[in-house]
Amino acid sequence: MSTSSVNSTISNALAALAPQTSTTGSSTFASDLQASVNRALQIASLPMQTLQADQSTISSKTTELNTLGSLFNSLQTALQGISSGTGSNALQATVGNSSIVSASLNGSPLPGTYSIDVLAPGSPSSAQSTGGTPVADPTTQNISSSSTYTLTVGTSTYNISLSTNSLNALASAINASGAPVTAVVVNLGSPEAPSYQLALQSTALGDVPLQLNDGTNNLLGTLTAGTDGSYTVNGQPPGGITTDSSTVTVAPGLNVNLLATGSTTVTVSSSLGSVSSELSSFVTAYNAAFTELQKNFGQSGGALTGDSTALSMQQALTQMISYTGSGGSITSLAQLGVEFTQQGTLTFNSSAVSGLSQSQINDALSFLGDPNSSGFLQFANNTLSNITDPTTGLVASETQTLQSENQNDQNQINNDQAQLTLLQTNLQNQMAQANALIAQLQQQNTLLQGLFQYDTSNNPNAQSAG
Amino acid sequence: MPKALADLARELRAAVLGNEHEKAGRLADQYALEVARQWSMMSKAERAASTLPQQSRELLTWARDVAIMHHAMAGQHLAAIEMANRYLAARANYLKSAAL
Repeated sequence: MSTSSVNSTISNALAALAPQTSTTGSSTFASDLQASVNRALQIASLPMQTLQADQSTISSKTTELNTLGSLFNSLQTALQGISSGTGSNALQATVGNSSIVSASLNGSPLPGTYSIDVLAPGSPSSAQSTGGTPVADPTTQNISSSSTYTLTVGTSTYNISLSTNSLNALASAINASGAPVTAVVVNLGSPEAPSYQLALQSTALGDVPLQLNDGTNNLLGTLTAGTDGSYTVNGQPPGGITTDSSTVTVAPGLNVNLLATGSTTVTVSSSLGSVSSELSSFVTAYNAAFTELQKNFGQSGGALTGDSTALSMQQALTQMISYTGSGGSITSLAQLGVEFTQQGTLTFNSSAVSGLSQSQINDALSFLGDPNSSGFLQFANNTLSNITDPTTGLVASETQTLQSENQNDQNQINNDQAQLTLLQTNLQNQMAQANALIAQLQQQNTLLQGLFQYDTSNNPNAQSAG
Repeated sequence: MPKALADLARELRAAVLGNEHEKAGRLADQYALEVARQWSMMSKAERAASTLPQQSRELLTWARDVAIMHHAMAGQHLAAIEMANRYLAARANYLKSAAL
């Protein structure tokens, strides 16, 4: 049956039945029932293609929203990547003569140049076992048969216990004891006749007494005493700073490792080295989101074409890239090599970053700011969060709206179906009662006409109509 | 026609028109009994002149025709509702499949 034929049949039926349906009464139930019937018949008149199109639209929109949401999440992740190269992470320490000291950062030292004069790099104390039981195989033999030892480092003692009695096990147990020494096993014999001994070296510089006792004998020989380290920072103090550690803190967040006697500089400065690579990743993520979004504009006919969500997303991208800083020599992404193409995508020219002076680098870092507190990163992060937030973001709310619309339709249909089922039951009962009445009337008519004909064959009024 | 029989006929017509089939059935029984009772009380001459057979035949035939019409219309209505219900079920299925 064609759709128009179905519609015609339904319309005729509805027209014929309207008066009858209204005779069921004037209650609210009756009018609700009538509304359900009318709505159901209207829906029934929709072509199936329309229903399929509805389903396809909701499904396509949801899929596209998920795709865009994922791409915007990636963009926000790339934004976080940029922040990993800013702030204290943008600082670097450069050593003038790396044979004299090495430098490391563990905080945010003030940028500047520090002059380091190593008067003495210092040395640790050391001692090794002498005599005792000869050890040709350190995996099975030990310098003592004892399973417990007392290690003395400076004025501190440490108890050492062995589960396996071997020289290798003893060295490992000392290293695991927490004592500020390093234990190794060394071969003082020839390759043909090896003689393994235990050698200890203090972690600290200077004269640190070392001894290992097996409960009966001291196992270490003569101590080779170490010396303290000494150095000055920017020439102060003139007599030098004595240290028992080769690693010293010369400024908050700046550590120097003393390697050899001599003078050198350590320069702390800002760098955009890691920012540059993260900007490249950011541009790639932006282009992916932008390209996908463009499918929903113009003739492309994407699922979100004409939807305000797509427009909001595009505006967010534009606003983010168009951010302008308030001061300094760097106030836009374009100055960092991030520029628009004619198609609206972005390109990144890393030479724009590598060519910046130290002053410009500082301004660039100020322009970028921090995702939580300032600058481009904060603005962009907030802008993207308005879209990606899993609870309040645009994607989440739009998805929720689609699902709600769908659910409302389903609820309405369920309600209509319940009403129609009730109406079906009523109609079936009505037909059964009508059937019974028809038979009853037929029977009574027959009986009465029989009664009349019994003795009034001459009465024209008693003749059956047939 | 005696008043009781006229009242029964009027109530029967109203019940049939009002689609109150069970009530119409009860009234039809009462009407037939009343017709038979009055007929039995008539003399032969009265029966010969009476219009009661014609009136009762016309009333019961009319009621039957109306009941048949109502039955047919209810059947048509039911068919339309069943069709609507099938489309509603199809639409509900589509919406459920779209609720990703």
